[in-house]
Amino acid sequence: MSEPRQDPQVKRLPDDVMDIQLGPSHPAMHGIIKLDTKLSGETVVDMEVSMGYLHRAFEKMCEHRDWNQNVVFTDRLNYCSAAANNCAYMSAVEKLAGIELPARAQWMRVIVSELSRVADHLTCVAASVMELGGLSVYLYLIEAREEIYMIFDKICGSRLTHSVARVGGMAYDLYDGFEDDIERVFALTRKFMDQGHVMLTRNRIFYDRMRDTGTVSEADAIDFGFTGPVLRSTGCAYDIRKAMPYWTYDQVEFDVPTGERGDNYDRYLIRMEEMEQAMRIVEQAIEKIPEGDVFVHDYKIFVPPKKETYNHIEGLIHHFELVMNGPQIKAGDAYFAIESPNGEHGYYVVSEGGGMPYRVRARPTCMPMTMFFPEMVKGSMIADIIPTFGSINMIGGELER
Amino acid sequence: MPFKYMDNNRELNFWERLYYPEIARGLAVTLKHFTRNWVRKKDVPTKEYPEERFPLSYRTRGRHYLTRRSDGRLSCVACMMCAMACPANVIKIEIGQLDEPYYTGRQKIDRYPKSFTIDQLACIYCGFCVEACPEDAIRMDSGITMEAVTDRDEAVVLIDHLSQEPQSEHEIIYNPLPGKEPEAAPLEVQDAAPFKLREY
Amino acid sequence: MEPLWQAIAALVKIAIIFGFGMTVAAILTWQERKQSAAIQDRIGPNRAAIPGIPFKFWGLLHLAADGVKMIFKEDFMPANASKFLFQIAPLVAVVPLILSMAVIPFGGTVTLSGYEISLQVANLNAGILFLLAFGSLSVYSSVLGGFASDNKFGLIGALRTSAQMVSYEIALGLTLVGVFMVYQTVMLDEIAAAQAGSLLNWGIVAQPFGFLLFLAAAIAETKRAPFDLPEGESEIIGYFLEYSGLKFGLFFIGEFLEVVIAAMLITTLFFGSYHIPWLDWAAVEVWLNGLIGGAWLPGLITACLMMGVFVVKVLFFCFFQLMVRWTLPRLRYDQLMAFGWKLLLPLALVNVVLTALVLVIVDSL
Repeated sequence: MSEPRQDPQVKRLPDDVMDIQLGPSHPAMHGIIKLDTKLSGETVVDMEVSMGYLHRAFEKMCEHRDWNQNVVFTDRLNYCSAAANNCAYMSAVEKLAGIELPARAQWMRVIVSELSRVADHLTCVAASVMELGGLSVYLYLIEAREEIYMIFDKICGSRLTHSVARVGGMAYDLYDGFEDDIERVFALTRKFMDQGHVMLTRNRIFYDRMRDTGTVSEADAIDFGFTGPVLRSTGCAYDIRKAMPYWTYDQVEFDVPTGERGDNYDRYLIRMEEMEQAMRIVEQAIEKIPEGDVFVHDYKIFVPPKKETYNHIEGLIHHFELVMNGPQIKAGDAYFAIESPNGEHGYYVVSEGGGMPYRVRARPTCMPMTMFFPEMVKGSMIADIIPTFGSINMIGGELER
Repeated sequence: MPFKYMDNNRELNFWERLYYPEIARGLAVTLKHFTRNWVRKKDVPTKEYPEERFPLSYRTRGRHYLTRRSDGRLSCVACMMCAMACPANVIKIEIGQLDEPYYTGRQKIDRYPKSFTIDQLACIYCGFCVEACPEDAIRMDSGITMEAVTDRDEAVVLIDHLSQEPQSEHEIIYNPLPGKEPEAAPLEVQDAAPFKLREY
Repeated sequence: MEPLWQAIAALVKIAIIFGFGMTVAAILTWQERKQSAAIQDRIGPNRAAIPGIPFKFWGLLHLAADGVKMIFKEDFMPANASKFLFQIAPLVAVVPLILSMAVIPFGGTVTLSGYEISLQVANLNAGILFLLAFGSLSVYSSVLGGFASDNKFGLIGALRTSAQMVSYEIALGLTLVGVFMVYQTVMLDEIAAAQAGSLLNWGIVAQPFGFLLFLAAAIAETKRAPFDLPEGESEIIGYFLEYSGLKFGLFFIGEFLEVVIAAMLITTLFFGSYHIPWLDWAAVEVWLNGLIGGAWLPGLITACLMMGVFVVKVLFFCFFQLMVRWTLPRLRYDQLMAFGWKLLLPLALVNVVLTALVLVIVDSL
């Protein structure tokens, strides 16, 4: 390109790149994160992610609570899918302790994980649509999520921080009328998802905003350790539920959506479809869940029923032991990962024997995507940051722990 | 794991590229919502919060309250289980010794909480204290989610406040953890020890 | 007509159109909240109340509450802002819009006490060109506001505005050419008068294609979704990022004034202005004259009826614009430019050519 003709009378305007900081408090940076961006006009030339605004020392705090108490911290990692985190952490501890869960508990973990998958994807899709300006779709999807939270409220008494699992089982069983609630709520969710499809999926404004933006190649995605919908959007069909079935995922039928191009549109469609599949799994699980208890009958692991505690000294002693010292887990280490809504969410737990963990390490699902994020948006426009950042579903609580 | 959803994952066709037809479809959806909410105002899913509330489930973990025995005494025996189980360390109990012990079921009770405070702002409402209580003395099914305070100190709820029966609109069904069947707790106070207590 | 009467009539007309424009713009702030609430399954504002009166007036009191809030907010100015430009930008946002309402006819001609009075503040021979000129003046407000506030986000917003407004002015002007060709005039009162009688005289029938293009361009001119890039509240917070208090309020009112003016234009150009199909206002006046008689009443009632029809149509198009705003996501900068230059502009040209062809064929028949 030839140099533009320059009038000596005209002083050339500076065309340097502009430093602009998106965040830490910026409407699109949900969670607290800062993107140091260099802009040339509207185009992103360079970007650096600086994180650490929400570091809460989750892993260190875990070393000072007993195995059961730590479940409340896992609630607050990816707060959109708290139940899945609870179950993942507890399964890691149970793997370390060598505890075999009763079938009903395993099915229940599948149910609450899939419910939280629906809630998480609803939040993610809704939030990214909202940032594109479609506030109505956001509120429709959030309305559906609200109903799912009400189900969680009925299961475990809390809408957001479920704390639903314990070492050796679940703290709460399903309630009477759960099936009816699920049927009603899923019908509602499907209705709102259909409306979202009508308003977004084939709408050219939305399509153009999402298609071929934030593209990532399959090789890059694998190299950087992507998991979950972002990895699958590149065409790599990796899903832990299929690759290494845990709990009772081998007994249900479901499909794993994969994309072709690895762009935002693929991720949006994958999330929409995964919600559908998650609802399918829950409906199958309700059919198949057996009767029984949702915890192991081992007073060394799981608190005895209240009847025992109130009336028998044996139960009372075990109760005191468990509350004061926590379940005693033998020395060793274990890693257990689930396919959380956002990808591989695993816990590495180390025990020295005793009631408290020596070390707990959580694998954050959104960390690789966030670190790779500058590469995804370099060369595109400032407006592309928004849907791309939304579709990697960065959750501050999980990213910085 | 090949996949089937991809009928949506195609290029836009000519009509979709024209913007207007798809916009009209979107407008139809919003218009439907608008007319429904405008015509049937009572059916709007949003609730006007302080006046009307969603029914909370009986498992909802709300503000704590302390139960009383049949003679009006607090059930709490200041065993410190809840304080120990609390992941947020918000329960503070001061132990008091009763001069005259009383009897319930098979137990002789000679302790009571001189003070019992919960910092509502630091509490994470996880329900571990209810799970840990061996006397059914603390419950969270009050249906009160959080009381409005104007000062941080006000949020530290004292024993007087906690031991009032909650004034809740919804029916309180006690559901101890874990298990499905509600269990009645031994709250009856008896006149004397039902059996001989060993003296140490 | 006597000069005194002329002056009084002009003042009354100014009061009517100014009052109408400002009132509707103010009510639109309420309507936007209420309507978006209904669209999104919410309830919307309903809390502001006069102490002692249980009735809440459907949340309309929030308008007063908002006004009071804006007046009493701190009037913040960034330390390095260009003081004069920063102060003047909000005024530039509102004044040209109010002025541009002057040429919009809100009724036909009525006879009051023997005088012919046309319900239009200023019947300029430049007609709609005046409106376009003043409409494009308001771009200065966002450019100045964004530039003067010494903020990078504001600057990006200002640049986006200027690019967007300049691009869409062209498309807007070209879509109007078809209307001018059909009605053979640029004066709005003549265009309005030409749409009397049958429904087939309406602009939408003569220029259906032009209407769709005009709609897009007009919404783009109002800087609202899906064309709200200058604001883009989730990307760059907008050119008015540093404004607070009443200055922000002026920008806000300016945005809604633009909505009202766009609705007025759509009504005037395409939807028969103050006309009801197959209803002749002159006949109505004659009929009223026979019914009631008197020097004032028949003309006054006719004028009110005409204004009423106009207001209903304008309110409907305000409603329609709000529906669009709450349905669609936002375009990206390059897509906006592509939409304006590669789609709207060629289609507008095609529209002009087609209209010309049709007119030639119709004339030669």
